[in-house]
Amino acid sequence: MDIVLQQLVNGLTLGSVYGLIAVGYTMVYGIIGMINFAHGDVYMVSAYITAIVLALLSFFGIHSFPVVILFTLLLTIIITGVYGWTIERVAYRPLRNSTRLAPLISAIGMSLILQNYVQIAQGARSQGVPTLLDGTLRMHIGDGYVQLTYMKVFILVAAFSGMGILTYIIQKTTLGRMCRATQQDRKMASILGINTDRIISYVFVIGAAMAALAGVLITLDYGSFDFFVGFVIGVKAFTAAVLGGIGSLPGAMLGGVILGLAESLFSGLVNTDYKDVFAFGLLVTILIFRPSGLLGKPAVEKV
Amino acid sequence: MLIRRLLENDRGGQIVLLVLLALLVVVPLLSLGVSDTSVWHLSTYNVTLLGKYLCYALLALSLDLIWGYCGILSLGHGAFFALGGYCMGMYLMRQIGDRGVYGNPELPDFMVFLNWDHLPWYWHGFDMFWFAMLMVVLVPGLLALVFGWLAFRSRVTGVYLSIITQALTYALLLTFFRNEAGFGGNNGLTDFKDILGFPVQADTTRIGLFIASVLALMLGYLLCRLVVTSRLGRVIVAIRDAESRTRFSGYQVEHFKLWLFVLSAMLAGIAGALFVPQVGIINPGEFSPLNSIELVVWVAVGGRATLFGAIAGAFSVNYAKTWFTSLYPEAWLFALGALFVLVTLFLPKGLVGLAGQRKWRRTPKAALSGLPQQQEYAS
Repeated sequence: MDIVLQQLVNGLTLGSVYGLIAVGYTMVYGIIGMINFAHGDVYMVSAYITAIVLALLSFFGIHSFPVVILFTLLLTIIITGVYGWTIERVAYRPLRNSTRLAPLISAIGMSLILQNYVQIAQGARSQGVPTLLDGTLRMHIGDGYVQLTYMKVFILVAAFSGMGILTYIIQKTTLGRMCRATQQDRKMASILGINTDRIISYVFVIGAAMAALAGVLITLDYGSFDFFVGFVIGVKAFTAAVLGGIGSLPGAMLGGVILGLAESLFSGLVNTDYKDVFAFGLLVTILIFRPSGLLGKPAVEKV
Repeated sequence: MLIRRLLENDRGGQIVLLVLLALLVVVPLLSLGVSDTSVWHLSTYNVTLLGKYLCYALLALSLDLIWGYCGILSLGHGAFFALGGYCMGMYLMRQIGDRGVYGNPELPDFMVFLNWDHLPWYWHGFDMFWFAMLMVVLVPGLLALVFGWLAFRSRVTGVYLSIITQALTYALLLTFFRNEAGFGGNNGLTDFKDILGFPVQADTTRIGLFIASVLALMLGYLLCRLVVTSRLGRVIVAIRDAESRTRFSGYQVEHFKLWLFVLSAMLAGIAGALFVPQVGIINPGEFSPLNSIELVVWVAVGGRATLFGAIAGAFSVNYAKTWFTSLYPEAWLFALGALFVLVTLFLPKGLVGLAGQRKWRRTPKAALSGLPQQQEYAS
């Protein structure tokens, strides 16, 4: 029993991070209908930025946890946001009126460029960061217990706050309304005076910022990373986005959590080695029965 | 007669087939007929390299058939290639016999190493060439049949189909990495000795494999041409351009897609089977999603829905890759990435689009493949 609870808690943490990255895929897909293959690598870049910011802070002798984490989050999110904006500007915007295939290929190219830029600039060996937050929370349930490191608690709080803030921005603010309008009908939105190019840029920045949040959290928790981490986690997050119904924001978060939970439960109860096989098997099964994902609307096509 | 009909209105295809015919004559001549010291001599290394490109071209062709003509973007087509390769690899492993490091006449080395005492059931029969060749087409075909039947019947399309094909190849990658799967785990199958009794490393065998690859590519091209120029091909293009409309016109869309998907998977399997004896190894890395993505890029760079564009793309991107890897080993992926971005920015129709643009200016009617081209459809 306690092993199930333990894996549920682990899965929730993992899933919330998948959800954060999935948001970037789903928003970009919703607004311009392309798969941003470089998104996983934006996440990877944010892991490196985290390490650099941490190193700088410790160089200046700042060690208090709240200050360090605040600065790291802030700086990483801002710098990664700039990356997101630049990528859209350089590789996708010039292709706005070309075929749908074109940005897909240029995204693959962008992903290769980012990976190799980081590999050349930072070296191919895997890097590490020190543990910032020690200690474990232990809850006794019956005769067993569930334990949770403080770092995991922090991840849960930060990830769900991030999703909360994003939902608020999209649902309640003017910017969010403009985003939704652009997603529904780009032409009409621009006729009504929305600068859709700028909105698309914002969406890329928001996606990159969410990936950066995930990057900081995962890097602080795992402690090590290399230039290739973006790929697997990118595929997983994309899976999460598709699982929830691509284009749907709550779907991405839900998909992330479901994928994380399924993966942890499977690895805890059945077999760790095949957890990824199981995760993708689940995706295939769900799509066969619900082809447009859990919360996605089936595409209506005019014939 | 048939060939003539197939290549009518297909200037690109005529050029490709002529080049292939020329390769068929020139390469064996330059490799075996010219002495080693001559500048005209073609080393075995280069013959194998060309052979490898030919296999990639056949693979690209198989993807162009479903992606270019039916709009099915498979991001896991490398899986069928790898499966075909593994079938061939299993045959080659069984041919080693007792010449392995452990000298076990029945079990391949890695099984002896893992302390297995008998051959797993799915390894039986692979000592026979005809059986292995049958499996080369049947295994990828069967997987495509089951997978496609489930996916197309549920009307999984567009990006969803792309991601589940990617998930499929990723799952296979992870499975084949496991030692207990019985396919050599991380190291895959290698250290082959001979094929049909001929030593794999020998120059003459390499030439033989090269000729087989050229012939396979030529036949594959003609077969694809036969499909896309037939009435069936017209329905397939109609499905690409307006799936629902085709369905409402009374066609069983799923059957057409499934049929084409299986055919494409079989072609990919054959490409894989020809690839393995030439490079001398097959390992789970071939299942990596990155390989399948690269494959998509070959087709896109070459030019989609033209068939010969896929061949041109496979050759040019892989040549650039080989060239860059030897010149700047650190920066080649970087350069490849830049190439993709630049090609899409400046050559949206791919390399064959370059030639096509000039032609279109003269006669606007002459589409590249003789089939209606559509500017925009779901990627």
